[in-house]
Order: sequence, then C-alpha cells, then structure tokens
Amino acid sequence: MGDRSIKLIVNGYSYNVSVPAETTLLEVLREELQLTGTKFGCDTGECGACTVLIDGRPFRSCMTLAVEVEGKRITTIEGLANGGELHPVQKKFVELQAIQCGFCSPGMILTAVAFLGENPKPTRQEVRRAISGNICRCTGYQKIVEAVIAASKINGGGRK
Amino acid sequence: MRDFIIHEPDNIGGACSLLLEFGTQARIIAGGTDLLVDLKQHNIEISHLVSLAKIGGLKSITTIGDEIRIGALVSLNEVAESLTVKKRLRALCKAAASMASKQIRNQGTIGGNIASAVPSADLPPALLAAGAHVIITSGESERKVPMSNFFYGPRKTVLAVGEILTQVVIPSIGKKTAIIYKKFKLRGANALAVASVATRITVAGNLIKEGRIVLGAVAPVPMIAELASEMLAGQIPSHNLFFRVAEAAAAEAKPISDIRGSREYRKELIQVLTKQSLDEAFKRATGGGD
Amino acid sequence: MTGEELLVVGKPLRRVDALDKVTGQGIYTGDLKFPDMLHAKVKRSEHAHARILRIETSEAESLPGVIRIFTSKDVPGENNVGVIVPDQPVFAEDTVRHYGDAVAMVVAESEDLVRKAVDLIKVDYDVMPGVFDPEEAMLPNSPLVHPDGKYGNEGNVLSKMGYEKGDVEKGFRDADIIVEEEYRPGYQEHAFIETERCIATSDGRNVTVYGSLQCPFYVRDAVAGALGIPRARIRIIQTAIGGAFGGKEDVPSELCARAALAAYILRRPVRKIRSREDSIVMHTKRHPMIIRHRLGATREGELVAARVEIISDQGAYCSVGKYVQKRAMVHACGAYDIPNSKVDTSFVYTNNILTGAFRGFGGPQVAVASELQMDELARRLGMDPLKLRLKNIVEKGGITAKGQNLDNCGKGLRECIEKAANVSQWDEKRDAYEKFNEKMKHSSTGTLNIRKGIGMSSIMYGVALGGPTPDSATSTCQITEDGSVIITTGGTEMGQGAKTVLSQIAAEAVGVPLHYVTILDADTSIVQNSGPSVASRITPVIGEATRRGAKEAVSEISNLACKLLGVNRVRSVIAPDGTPFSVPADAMVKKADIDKFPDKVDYHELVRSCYGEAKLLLGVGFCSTPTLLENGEYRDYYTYSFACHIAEVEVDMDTGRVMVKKLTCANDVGKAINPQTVEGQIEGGAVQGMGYGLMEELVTLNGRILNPSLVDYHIPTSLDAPQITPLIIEEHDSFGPYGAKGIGEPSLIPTPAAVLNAVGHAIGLAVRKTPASPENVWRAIRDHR
Repeated sequence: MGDRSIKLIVNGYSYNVSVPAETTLLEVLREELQLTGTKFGCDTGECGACTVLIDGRPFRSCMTLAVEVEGKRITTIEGLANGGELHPVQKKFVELQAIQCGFCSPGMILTAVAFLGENPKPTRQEVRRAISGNICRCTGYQKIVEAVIAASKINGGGRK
Repeated sequence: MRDFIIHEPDNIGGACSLLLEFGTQARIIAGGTDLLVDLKQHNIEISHLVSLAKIGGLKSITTIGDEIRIGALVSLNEVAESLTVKKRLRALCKAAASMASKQIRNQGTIGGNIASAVPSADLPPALLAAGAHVIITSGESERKVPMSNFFYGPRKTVLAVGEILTQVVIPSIGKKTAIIYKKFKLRGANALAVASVATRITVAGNLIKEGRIVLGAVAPVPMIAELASEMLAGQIPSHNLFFRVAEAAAAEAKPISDIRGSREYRKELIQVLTKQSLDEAFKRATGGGD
Repeated sequence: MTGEELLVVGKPLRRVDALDKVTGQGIYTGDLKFPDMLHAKVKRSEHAHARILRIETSEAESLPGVIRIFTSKDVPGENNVGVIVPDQPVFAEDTVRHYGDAVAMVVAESEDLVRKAVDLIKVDYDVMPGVFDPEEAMLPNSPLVHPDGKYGNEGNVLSKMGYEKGDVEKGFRDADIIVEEEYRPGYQEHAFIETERCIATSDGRNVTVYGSLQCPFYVRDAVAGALGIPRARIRIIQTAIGGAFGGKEDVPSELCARAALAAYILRRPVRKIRSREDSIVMHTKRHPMIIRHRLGATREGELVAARVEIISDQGAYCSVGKYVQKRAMVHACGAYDIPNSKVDTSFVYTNNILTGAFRGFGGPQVAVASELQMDELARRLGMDPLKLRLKNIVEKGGITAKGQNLDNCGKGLRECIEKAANVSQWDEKRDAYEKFNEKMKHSSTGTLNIRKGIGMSSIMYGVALGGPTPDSATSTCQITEDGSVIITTGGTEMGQGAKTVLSQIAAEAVGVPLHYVTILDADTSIVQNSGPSVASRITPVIGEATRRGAKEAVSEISNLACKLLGVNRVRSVIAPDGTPFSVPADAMVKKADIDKFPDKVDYHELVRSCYGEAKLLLGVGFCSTPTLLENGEYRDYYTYSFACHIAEVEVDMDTGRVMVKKLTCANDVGKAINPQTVEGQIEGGAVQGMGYGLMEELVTLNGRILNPSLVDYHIPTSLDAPQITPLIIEEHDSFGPYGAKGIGEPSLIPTPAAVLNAVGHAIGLAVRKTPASPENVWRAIRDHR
C-alpha cells in the first residue's frame, strides 16, 4: 500500500530508506542496511536475539516498526566497537568464552552494555535480572554473567 | 504481515476520527508488543494502524494532590521505575517489573496492557485493588470509567469504536492501607502469570477496616473476589482469618485449564497467593516494613 | 623435561570464532543473500492422521509473485528422507501421519507472500483415527501408522531390542530387597535460538545448499535421493550454526531436500527459514519413555539384579530412533556392576511428533530411571546415596551391567563422585538440609513453606558411535609455504567449540601456535565424510583423525629437522615471540631460553626447505576406534566417560515450585583440550539438563503441540539457571588425541536425575517424571498426603 520514506540513524550514520509501513526495524537493518549482526530468532519478541539499542535502551527490533523509530539513535552490534577497538563487554565475552553458538550474543551484549550504562557496578544477581530477557540455549549463562561483571570492573565498562 | 497504512496524527481528536472512519479495519498502535504478534500471526486482519506516538501529553506521570495520573503511553519500565508510583503504589511497580523482558517493558505501555484486556495481564489487578479509573476520550468528550467496569471478557472492553484510553488515574491510597501484588509464573522471567492476586488492606486500631482481593488469570477478566473481600471487614486479623479468606478467594476464582496450569492447580495457587499477600499487606499496613 | 610437554593442548585459549561472534560478523545461513532469491514455506498437515483427498492450490497460485507450489508429485527421485529406514516422505503422498508432515510447499518472491499463499492452500482430508499413546499403539486393534510393515515394523512396533546377562530370575530370588518403580521422562524441544534454515541454488544440473547443519553428508545423501541425481553433483556447505543439540542432525535433510527440489526445477536460489512455530511443530524431539525398572540388592546394599523395560514413543517416523534405542538399552542399568541384568526396549510408532536425536540420545531418560532407583534403594536401606553408589559403581577391570569388560577405562567415575561430593560438601549439606526440613515441618510461622534438598546422579557414557562397527573419521592437513596450516574435516562447529579444539589438536601435532591453523567449514565437495557431528565424537574421533593427518603432514619437516640437528627425534618449542622451532626431543630447553639455545631450527626455514626439495606437506589422517576385539567380539562403546552431578534445590511446598540453587558437576573428559571450552560445555549441558528435569514441558493433545513458542515452552532464563561449579576430571584415554574423550552429551545426561533426586530429598518422596514442574511436584505432594 505504498512505501514510506524514513530517515534512520544507525550507529551514527544517517540512512534514508523507503519501506512499507509494516516493515519492522529488524527487517530494515537486515534486508535494507545489510546489518545482519542483529539476529532473527523468533520474530515474536520471545528470545531477544534481535535486541538493538534505541536511544541507549534495549528494544526488540522484531517488535518495533521502523516508522516508529524515525530520527531515534539506533545502535546495533556492528556499531559497538569504537574505531576497531572492542567494547569492554565484547572483550570480556571473548576472554571468558561467554559465547558458544553466537546467535544470542549480539543481543545479549547490547543488553549488557545498556545495563552497565545504568548500573556500572552491578551484583551478579542484578546482571542475571538484566539479561533475563535474552535467552541463551548454549552457555547456561554463567560465563555471560562473569563476563559482564568483569567488564564492569574495567575502565569504560559502562560506555555506550 | 498484511499491508497496512500507518497514520500518525498529532492530536487525540485526529486519532479518534481516524478510528471512527476505519472502524474494524483500524487498530491503535502504542508499544505494539501485543499487536505486532497478532498481525504477524494473522490473528487479526486490518488495514489501518493509528499510531499515538506523535500525540503529546500521553507520556507523563503526574500527581495532583495524592492522586497519580499516568499517561497511556508511559512504558512498563517507566511505571516500574517511577519514584512517584513507587511511593504511593509499589504493587504496580512490582507488577510492571514482573512482566516479559526488559526490552518488551521498554516498548509496552500501561495503556496497552489495560486495553488489550488479556486475562493474565499484570497491571489491572493492582489497579483494581487501588480503585483506579481510566479516562477515555472520543475526541469530543471524555468519560471516566472505573477499572472494575472496564473489562467485558478476554480482549473485550468498554472502549467503543473511535475511543481511546488516555490516562490511568490512581486515587489517594490513604493511611494505614497497603496493597500487595503476587504473581505465580513458570520461570524466572519472560513468562505470563498462571495466577495472580492483588490484595488491599486498611487497618484501624487492631481491626481490619476493609479489604479487597483482586484475582488475575483465573477468570475471563480480572475479578474482585467479593465474598472473600467482605470477610475481612471489621475483623481481627489472624492466620486463621487469612486462611479462610484465602480459601474463599480460591472458591470464587473461575479458572480454566490450559497449557499453563489446570483449573484445580490455579485455584490452589490463588489460595496460596491470597494468604501470602494478606500476611504481607497486613504487616505493611500496620507499619511493619514491606 | 620429557619432551612430551604440550604446547597448545590443555590451555584455555581464546575461541577461534570469538571475534566474529561478538562483532556480528559471523555469517549464518539467514545472513546470506543471492540475486533473484525466492522464499519457501510448507503447508503443514492439519490432522494427526488422515488420508489426503485433494490439494487445492489454484487460489494460492493466482497470487501475484507466487512462482510455484510443490507437492509429492514433483519429487523426481525417491520421496524419502529417512536416515535409517525410508519411512519419512519429502512431501506426504496419500497420508499424513502427524501434524508436522509437509503437504505442499509454496515458493514465492517474498517471505510475506509465502505466508499468505500457504493460508490459501486448501486440503481435503479423510480423517482417520490416530494413536497417541505408545502402549495403546502396541495393542492389537490400534490404528496403524505404517500399516504395511515394510520398514521392518510389526504393527506399530518399529523395533525391539534387548539383552540378558546372567540369570535375572535367580538374581532377584537372592535379593533381600527389591525396588520396582515406573518412570516417565518426557519430551524435550531443542529450542536452538536459530531455527532451521537453508538456501539452495542450482543451474539445473548441479545443486548447492547452504545451511545450518550438523551433518552435511546426511543432507547430501537425502538431497541426492530426493532429486535422483548422483551425490557428486550435490554440494552442501555448512555456515555458522545458531545451536543444534541434535535437532539439526537429520532434521535439515527434509528442509534442504525441499529447497533443493525447488531450486533445481526453478533454477533460482530458494531460501527456507522456519518460523518458530514451524520449527517446534515439525522437528524431532527427545524421546519420551515409559521405563519400568526393577532393582534387587542385598541387605548390605550390593546390587544383584536389574530388570528394565522401556517403551518409547517414536512418533510418526523412525528418524535416528533405532540408534537412540541402542544407546538407551546399553545404558539402561546405569554405571553399576550388576551381575544379572535384563533389558527390553520397544520403540513404537504413533501419530505424535517424531522423536530423534537430542544431546544425550536416550541417556538422560534412562539415567532418570536408574539414578532415581538408586536413591529409592538407598532410602529403603537407610543408606547414604553416595555410599550406595560408591559400593556399586563399575570400575576399571570390572564388567558393565550390559556385559562389557572395562579393560581400558573406568577410574574416572569414582574420582568424579568423590570430587563432586567433596566440593559440594555433600555430607554436611545432606545433614543440614534434613535438619532444616525437620524444623520447617513443625513450624507454623512464616509464610514460605520451603524444603531444601541435595541429590546426585552418576553416569557412564559410551563415547562416539557404538559397535559392532568401529567408528571412523578422515581429515586432511596441508602445510602451506608460509607455514600456516589448513585442516579439512566433516565435523561441524555448532557452538560447542569444535573449530577451536580441532585447531588446538592440529597446532599441537604440527608444533605451531594456534593462529597458524585454519579449519575449513564443512563443504561436502571439499572435505571428507568424517561421519556425523554427533555422539560427542568430534574431539575424540575426528580429533584423532586430525592429529594423525597433522602428524603425517609435518613428518617431512620433522625428518629434515632430525637430519639438520643430527638426532632421531625432535620436538617443537614456541619462542616467546611466537616463532616455532624444532629442537632435539631430549633437549633440556625452556621456551624462555630458546633464543640462546643453539641446537634449533626455525620451523619456517624447515617448511621453505621442504618446498625447495619438493617434499609433500600433506597428510591424510584416518582413524577407527578400537571397537573390535581380537576374539571376534566387540565393545558396545570403545570407551566410556564418566560424570557425577550434584544438585541443591529449594522446594516451595505450597506451589510445588523448585529452584535449583547450585549445581556441582564433575565430568571425566580424558583430557581437556581447552579447559575453558570444556567448562562451557559442562555449564551449558547442565542447564539444558536442568531445564529437562524441571521446566520444559511440551504440551500435546491428540498429536497436536499446544505450546509451539518460546513464551509457552519454558527453557531456562538467566534467573532460572543456578550457580554452577564445573569440575574437570581427566582419566587419560589411550585412543583419543592427547587422551581426550567426548564431553558434549555427558555434560547433560546426569543433571535431570540429580535435580529430581534433590527434589526427592527435599520433599521426602520421588517425582518420577519430567518435568518436575510446579504443578507436577504439587500433585506429588498432595497425592501423598
């Protein structure tokens, strides 16, 4: 029923895309902008694999219409490393093997980054609560929790 | 999802006229967390979405005296984290925080949680216990509807075509009164209520002045357990009393058996949650911490 | 220094795929795009059992953008994807046998269109009575799922397997005490976060399929069969996999066969991504079982006889059911020395969802029965469950319950049990929780009615594919001019760390740092068929083939180094700056002192010289497990790994809700090639096992799955998963690379039973089914009152 022209700010870059109104942010990121780091897991808001940050807060991109986030600041996993240097959360996910299949990792990492922005010195239980909307089937979560705690202890852990 | 047109009116009157114009072909989109699932799974077929995003005044939490007014577009996380709400109706914050996931709570709104009228919704029981009402507008006129009269059945409410829920109004809770929300779910996060109870108790001296028990997920709509509530008025609090009230609440519940639990298990849960919430509410109402 | 010091193996090195995965650069199937790509989705059966009368596709076909609708009539080859018996069609022909059967498939220009078109396909059915209970399915007048018996089935019984050792009747006659109970471990859904997906391309002659696949060669063979073209014309390429756990073992065969068929006929790329609902409704599940277990012991707690009968619901098709059956049979009596044992198993067709491979492969189910039996026996004897186990475990030199002589392993189990008990403070906690519970029983204050419990489960696990045929694998290693190393194997990285572990093995064998090694993704036109990526066999079997291939590839380099250094044997030392050197094998030199050590040759010089002298630096590694014995008999499994998990729980007596507070998990892995990766396997397996024991319930009604979503099928979140203490035990194995055995499956197998035993300890009675969901536990407590 006719495309809508919208302007999105993703990872600091501005994009103009023309999409039907029913297009989700997830579809725009993956299909239009080729940012495939944001994963498609269930398409109904249940798993968290498609998590991105909108104005610094985590959202399910599969449950967000692209037109509704026009002009907002969107961060995907591709935009997290700063000039090639990994974000402390990414670094600790690598060091502590907080990854297995990697499919939940982009969403998990972004959720953790947003959380450390709000709560730079969390307890393990607070970390568990914060990431509880991101389902991981491989790791049993322990190494993820440890990686987020470790990231909180290095300078810039709360950087977004 | 089926192709649709999304309208983004910048005032509430415009939104109401669009809803009126397209009738059953239109839906309001607020957070979209329920609606998009329905659209993607082809549970509903519509061709117009009316977004409230560009309408001002629906996103704030304000107080007038002891009354709290929460705009329909306030997100579930904003409710959960609001100091204003926490001070006056902590049970609502707990109910909001218990829902879904952080991401969905950033998206979903208080208005949506009420207007979707899902039997297991978490906010309505606490709001019913608090005696809250909602403001509904048709663009031309406004009406006030108590939460206790808002729901008709699963996904059925008093909202007429062309009407929008704009605000939730929580009256002053009053002194010596406590409201507690208890929810039973099948895992630590990301799960719907199997049964929930919101309990309100007001004490006077060493008596219970009045009480109200609201049950969630055990009837087509959130329901006040009237008989159980009445049993509290003017009584001396005791384990025995609370136990009998809990039994009465369970007897009043009308749950169905479904994938989350059988009818009899849900009744049992209502009894347990009612007892726990009465104990806590009494303790809090008499100033014994929370 | 012996010269045997390990350079790379045994170190917690960073995963080779880590960087890609934390930056979103890893390429999964859904991330690939091809020009002119089409989309596909199947029309699922609307009944559990029905005859198809008519498939009406005209309305769907008339939608603009719909290219074609495929049905069984379009399959040019054999309409079958069954991996063991040919019972599973690509598309249902005249009959649907469960709700997950594909009746037709729409191919169209967009995802949205295929969804719309699928809804427009109308199918007329003649509904037939179905059978949904395996015991009912065995009755004479039951509806038949495969009436003709052409798959070797008798009625609905797909297969019967059993054994008897010793004299069971006499054993029970001699027993002072007999424990007899029925157990019902249920279904489990894999719930990988990435649903099944593939993309097929074709020029009308050759076919290439990219996919999220555990076993690319299974897929190749299925696609070849369905298209009726030679395997050589089919190329299956594995991309990054977003979780598999057995659910992408033979499952992708049907998905890929359909996509390949469309691409082959239409000559355009065709992508298939299963929705979460399609995924849960269509793919295999863990086998639910009915296990009747009779265990006899002396007054002193010595096991004398076991009798186990297993009936399992195979669903509509065999999948890998017969292999699951064999593993369940061998492991049915647990890790104990029982002189007289008899096991009978029946796997039965029904009109339910088909069941197949899932991490553990029958193991977790039989462990639920055998390990709860041990606790029941301990309770009746008034013995500590730990002591009862230690008294009866089978150890090196002993005979397994099935009758295998444990001549090459068996020390790991005692070590696992003792270590786990020690670290978890078993004795103290057992006692403390009992006192706590006693106090709670008599307390009327406090609103929470909590009980605490600690329970254990100890298991043995037959590593790799079982006998009588040995398990084998092939791998190649190529050392390039600059010294970097390319490895090919058919093993797949699905998140478990296969690439990292195989890289470490190859780097160790060649004598170079980890980053020198590249493991190619499995591609059936390039790599060897190393057998499937199942049965915890990648590290021990494919790893051993990799080690041998690498050793062969480096042999000319070693020979040259020997010549130059004037010795018979050399070893590698990696300098602090990362440069590898060869030194005499018996040279007493440490890595830090290598600069000043004269008798060394730079690896890179050796490689250059070998190329200069036209030496072949290519190795083909082949190995087969020591399954066959000299006397003509065979081992059920060439070796076993062992585990003991201990769970601590709190049970809310009013609601039945169980919280797991702590898991202590000791797993014998032979040799931890990468200890951090092993820990990850233990932690992840244990939480998946905990989910099976406590939370995960597939709700079905007459063959229909009522909760096909991740909101209603509850896998653990971070708030459900407990604190885990992984303990690595290493009983060196003489076959596996550097002594390694497998870890993928034994990380999960003991956990459900450990959790259930902890619940039993807490509430004082056994919950004999999974999941021990709040309602199931509440019922157990209520029924007991």
